[in-house]
Amino acid sequence: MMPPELRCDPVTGQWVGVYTDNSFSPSDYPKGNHRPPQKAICQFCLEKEHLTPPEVDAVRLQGSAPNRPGWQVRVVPNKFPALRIEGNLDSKMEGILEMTRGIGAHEVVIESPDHNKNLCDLREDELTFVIQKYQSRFIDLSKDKRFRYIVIFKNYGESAGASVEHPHTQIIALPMIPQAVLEEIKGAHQYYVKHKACVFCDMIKQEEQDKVRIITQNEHFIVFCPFVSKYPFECWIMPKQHQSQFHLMPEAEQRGLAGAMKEILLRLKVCLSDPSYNFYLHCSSTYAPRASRSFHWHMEIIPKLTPGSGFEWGTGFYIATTEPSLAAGYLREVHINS
Amino acid sequence: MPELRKDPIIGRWVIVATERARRPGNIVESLDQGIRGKKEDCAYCQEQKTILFSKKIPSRGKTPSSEIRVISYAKSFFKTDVNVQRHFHGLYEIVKGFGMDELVIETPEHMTYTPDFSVDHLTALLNVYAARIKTIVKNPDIQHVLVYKNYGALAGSQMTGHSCSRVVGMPVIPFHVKEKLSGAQDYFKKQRRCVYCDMIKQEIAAKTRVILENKNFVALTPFAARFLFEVWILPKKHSCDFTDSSQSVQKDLAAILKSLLQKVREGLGDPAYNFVIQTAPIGMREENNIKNYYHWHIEILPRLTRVAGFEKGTGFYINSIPPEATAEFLRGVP
Repeated sequence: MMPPELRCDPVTGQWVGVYTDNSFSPSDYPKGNHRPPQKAICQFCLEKEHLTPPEVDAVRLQGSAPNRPGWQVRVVPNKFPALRIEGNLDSKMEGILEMTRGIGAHEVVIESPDHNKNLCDLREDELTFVIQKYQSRFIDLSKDKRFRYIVIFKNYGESAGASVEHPHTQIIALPMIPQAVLEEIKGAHQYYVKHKACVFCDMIKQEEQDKVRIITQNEHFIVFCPFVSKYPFECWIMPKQHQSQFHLMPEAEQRGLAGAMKEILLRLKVCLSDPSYNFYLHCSSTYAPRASRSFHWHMEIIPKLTPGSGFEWGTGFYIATTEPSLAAGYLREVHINS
Repeated sequence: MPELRKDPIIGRWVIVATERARRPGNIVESLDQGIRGKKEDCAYCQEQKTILFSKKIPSRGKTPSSEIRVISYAKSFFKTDVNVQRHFHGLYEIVKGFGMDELVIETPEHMTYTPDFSVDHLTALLNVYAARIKTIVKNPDIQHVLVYKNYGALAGSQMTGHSCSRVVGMPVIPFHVKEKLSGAQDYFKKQRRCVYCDMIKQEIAAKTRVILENKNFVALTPFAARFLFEVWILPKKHSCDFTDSSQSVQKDLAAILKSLLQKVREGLGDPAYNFVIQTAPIGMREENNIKNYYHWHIEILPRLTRVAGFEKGTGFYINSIPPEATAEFLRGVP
């Protein structure tokens, strides 16, 4: 019998626990009804454009007017933003406590006019439009000198924190680099100083050697379950060529990302019975130009399969109940119609 | 206008909503705690085969005396019978999953929960934690011991209906613990003082975030709280080690813990919560200075909201009620 393992993240130094012999299979995870509470009127649906704040960006039919039907993707400010767009930071200290005003941007990317079409149901060209809007918003927001970091993330399903069912992604621009990302940027930088190589490029090399954790790949992207997974069935999408910034991804690669995203989201849906999930992009800060060689952007997809416990909250020590190469195997084997 | 606040110890920023703050009393939607386990099926109501440790619960009036029992947690991730071999697989470092995972059966009574215990009973429970930590750290492969409790399904509890907590010895120092240590160490290097002591001084003077205080402890909502109604209990006297506390200090802790857990239960409608004791890792004790810069404490983390992609992806939390308001609310709960 193989004992369980503790594995150390080569970027951050974080230890995680990984089940080995007694790994959970997909059917060992409870299936939850994860639909967010239904509302009488969906403000993200077609012909309800007047219910959202005015759009800041969109993919539209030629000739169609903003805030009217005729769109495929819409980007609107969040009606209930976590941060405010107007004003200055006004940092201040009270004794040992530091604070600033809550300045930032909070936008919603409505991925499709169809209420029931999730990302994995979109055609590749439709998904490419969504990715184009992620990029254009990222570029636009990074011009604002007050912001240091832009987070693109999605909550799908109630248990993953979604409160609106209509398929959407959120974008938050922050005036500081979030700690978890900062640790990753710092760790990658230290690795670069020591090894003169990008740790993520080295990770890809090792994944290609080991093979067992790769789920799928195409010309530009690789999709795998990382060796040091914090969560069971955690999946990463990473550009194969070194690329520090998501918004600098060439247009020719957008379609490849769309294909990789569609495939892995479909595989997760079939394999784990349409689980709730989160995904987010990790990019280097627009304010850390030195990270261009050491950092490598990627997308992390986390299905919500377990509730999490005091152990994780108290320690930051996560336990992946399915070994990543087994998880990758289950995901590879499921049959999808794409 | 919302605020961004920085945790003075680890430097983590959080968003605190101030203007559209929901009223604390209305925050809790009915949380499904699930069906409580039945007494007939409860493994912890039955006689245990192997008891690692036990301690008598001081009897109250006519109740017959009973005991707190510690058993080895059978379903644990950690195994006691493996060697801590460290090795590398390419760029990845691996340690075999050695560790000690103990389950503390807090009471023989089914469906009696921690806030119901008498102060003497709670003191005995804290004594048990300290005794088990002291035993576990004797193993040279153990780097850190964590004491925690999951209450309610949302907090990751097994929902047996029997009040239990865990004491886990691990062969590595976990991430959050490392963050706290290095933050406190940095502060000490600059200021030559303990950051927690400075925080306590400032909080007691400001009063707005203090919920309860007694001779030896203060309970407060941290300035840059990650979770709604997050509460920390800190010893007023500087100490890095939870197990160092005298019996009278433990009794003071039991008293403040009981009042707090009662306030959380009554005021917030019996929410799921996690409870964690943060004490200096044994693996760093040889580092003398840890005594100066680290300060043990307890975190109580009610699980009232779901953690979503933003928090998971960035470690940046959004707190929809300012900690001053949650402290005021909890102060007002009888």
